[in-house]
Amino acid sequence: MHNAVHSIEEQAANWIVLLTADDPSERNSAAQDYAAWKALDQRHHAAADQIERFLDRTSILQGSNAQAQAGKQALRQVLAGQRHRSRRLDTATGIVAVLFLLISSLLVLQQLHILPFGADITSPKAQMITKTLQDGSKLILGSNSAVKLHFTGTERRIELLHGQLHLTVAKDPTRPLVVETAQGEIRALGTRFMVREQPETTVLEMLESKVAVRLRQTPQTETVINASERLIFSKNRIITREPLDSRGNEAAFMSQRMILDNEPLGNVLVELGRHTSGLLHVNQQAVAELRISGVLPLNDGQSALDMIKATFPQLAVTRHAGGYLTLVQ
Amino acid sequence: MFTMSAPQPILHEQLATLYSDHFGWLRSWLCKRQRCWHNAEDVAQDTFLKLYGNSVPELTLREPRAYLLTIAKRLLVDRARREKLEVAYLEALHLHYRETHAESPEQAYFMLRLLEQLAEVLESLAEKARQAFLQHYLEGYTHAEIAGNLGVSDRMVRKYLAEALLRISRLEA
Repeated sequence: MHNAVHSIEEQAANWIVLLTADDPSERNSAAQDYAAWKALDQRHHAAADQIERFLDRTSILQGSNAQAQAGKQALRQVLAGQRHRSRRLDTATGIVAVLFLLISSLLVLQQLHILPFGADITSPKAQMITKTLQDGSKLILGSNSAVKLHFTGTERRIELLHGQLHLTVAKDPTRPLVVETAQGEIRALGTRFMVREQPETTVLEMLESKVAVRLRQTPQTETVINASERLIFSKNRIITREPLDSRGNEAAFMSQRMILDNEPLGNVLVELGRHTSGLLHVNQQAVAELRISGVLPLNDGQSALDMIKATFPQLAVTRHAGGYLTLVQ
Repeated sequence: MFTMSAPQPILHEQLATLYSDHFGWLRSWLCKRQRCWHNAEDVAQDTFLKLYGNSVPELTLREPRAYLLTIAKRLLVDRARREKLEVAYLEALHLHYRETHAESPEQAYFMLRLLEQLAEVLESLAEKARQAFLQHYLEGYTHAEIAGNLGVSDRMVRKYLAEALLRISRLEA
């Protein structure tokens, strides 16, 4: 640092930036030099103190509580308003921008079918999406799935809105990673696993290491799930805990196949409907007693349906509206 | 600098003269702008309060109206910002985050005062410096992550952060 040309305030600001540098050894040596610099002169101390105290107050915005979230939102909102005014968007540009937004969002909506409001990452039907998150974790979204990310200084939270995800968690001892579903939350202890959100239940498949699960209605109890285990849970109870062929299930997910072991056909058709383009309407009464085993392709709904039709010749699988609507009865 | 005399603390009698000569004029100027008598009175009072105990260059005392207007306009901006933040914060708290646990008046004051000062600091920064500050000190991103997010070098991130901290060091207590 060139002390001669910087004011005391500038020097204090530069030191404090170095205190949170990425490299730990740089941080440590900066902390020592900073303390020495402050001890040199009362004015150094005063300038540093003002910044430090302000940053200390700012730390209340880092939490995940409602006050911190609302505070950040208010700040962003007011800053955004101020920016727009100062730029003076003229009316013509405004109209063009609005039209462009309308048309592009309609196109996107059409492409993705229905988009849950506020989803950060959404995958279309019959297509997987792979994303490396900002912490280095690798997220694979199954087809027709959506997540919201809430990453803060103290926690990495992934909200699974619907569908299925496969996650390889990057280690970060200071920020635990949590997957949240409507039924509860899964706290990763550094690891690889898959989560599927179904109506009323969540299916967790552990591939490596372990996680801690808390159900929505009994958050005080924690269940630790180990590698090669499958856990199916609802809001208030654990429905199934069983051994899992983790390698086979992971491979099935990656190649977008469903491995079925004597599963009720009704459930299988509902799951298939989530992945098939167009609407799949199932007469649940007609399939109530039927069970199916085998492997079905999820990324090719039509051949999956053809296989089901071949297995159960008593079912009528008919296509309407140019293949858009499929009836099973 | 040698042509100008050093700023002197304003004297009590000087302030009294300023007040009697210009208070009515300032209030009516604010009133036309504000369309609200009550607010205009408050802001005019606050403007003179700001002068009290402050050091002002000798020149401004000879031409005080321009100086008074500068202070009054800044107070109007602060006031508008405070109101917007308050509305946005309370709305977010009660509508989006459905906070039912009541905040104490002290907590609310503490938060709004912090937001006000943060907004003042961040408004004075360019977009990238603003983002760098928010991402590092509020969201906990590392320097390298911010460099990636903003498409700038690590060194530039440090420069942005130092710039924001410098503004903080110049905030009025």
